[in-house]
Amino acid sequence: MIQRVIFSCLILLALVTNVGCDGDTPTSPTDTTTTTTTTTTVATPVYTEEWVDTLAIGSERFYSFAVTQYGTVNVSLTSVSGQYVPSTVTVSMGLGTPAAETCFTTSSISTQAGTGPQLTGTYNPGVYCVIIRDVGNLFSAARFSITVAYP
Amino acid sequence: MKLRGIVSLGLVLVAVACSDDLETPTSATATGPVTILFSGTLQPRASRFYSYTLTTAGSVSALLASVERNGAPVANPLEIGIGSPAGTGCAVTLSENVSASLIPQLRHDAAVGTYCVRIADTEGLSAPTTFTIRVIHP
Repeated sequence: MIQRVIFSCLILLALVTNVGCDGDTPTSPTDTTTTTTTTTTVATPVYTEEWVDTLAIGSERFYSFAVTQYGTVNVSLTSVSGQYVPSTVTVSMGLGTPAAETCFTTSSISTQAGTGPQLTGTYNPGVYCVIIRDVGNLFSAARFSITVAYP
Repeated sequence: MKLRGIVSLGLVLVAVACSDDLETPTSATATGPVTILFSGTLQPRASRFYSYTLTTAGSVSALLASVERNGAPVANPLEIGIGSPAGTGCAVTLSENVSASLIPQLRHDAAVGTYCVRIADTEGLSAPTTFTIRVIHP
């Protein structure tokens, strides 16, 4: 008799535990609506670097810089000069990330020197680079000046 | 004896009731270390650098795997360094003067980001020399 009672109790315990341990019972959805507003501030340029260098015929040069906060990067080709180099000569200029032995561009343009900026964009913190290339217009090496402004 | 059997059966029933369904294992893609080979020719008193991006933080090691001229090993030590691309070069934060070896010569823990490895002739090579640097990163 005692054994039968114990057995019945264990069966009951198993059934209760089964219900208690059942993890598949769906939870009824609630009608709560949560609205999250995220405001991303685009920082304006804080740092300015002037890069003055020489571009040989058919060559390319690049310059790296570190953006410390999400914001606007402006790149200006301010001057191109040299013997047999018209100041209006068109070169290629790009913005991207340093990769291997070059600058892998994500945006680029063919441009002449001017007040600029000729390239602009918003970028996350990280290391970026600006590259200048001769696209076949140079007859001699050109002295150039590029200004990079970044946050 | 019979009582012990009943209790055991009961415990088994409780255990079965509480056991969760076995989850199907997800197929985890194991990604091992990435090896970069940076090879080229180094002019006397010159330097070169190579940029790479870490998408996972971890330990980075570099070694000067070979230094050769006309197919023969060159014993001259060269400077290898690790740093970040800056301006027209690689701003080195860790460097060593080393000869070719297959044992890691530089090692550092790096966060996600863009880095560079640089090789420089600081002691004066007698002629252009070919080199290979091996960088291993997560």
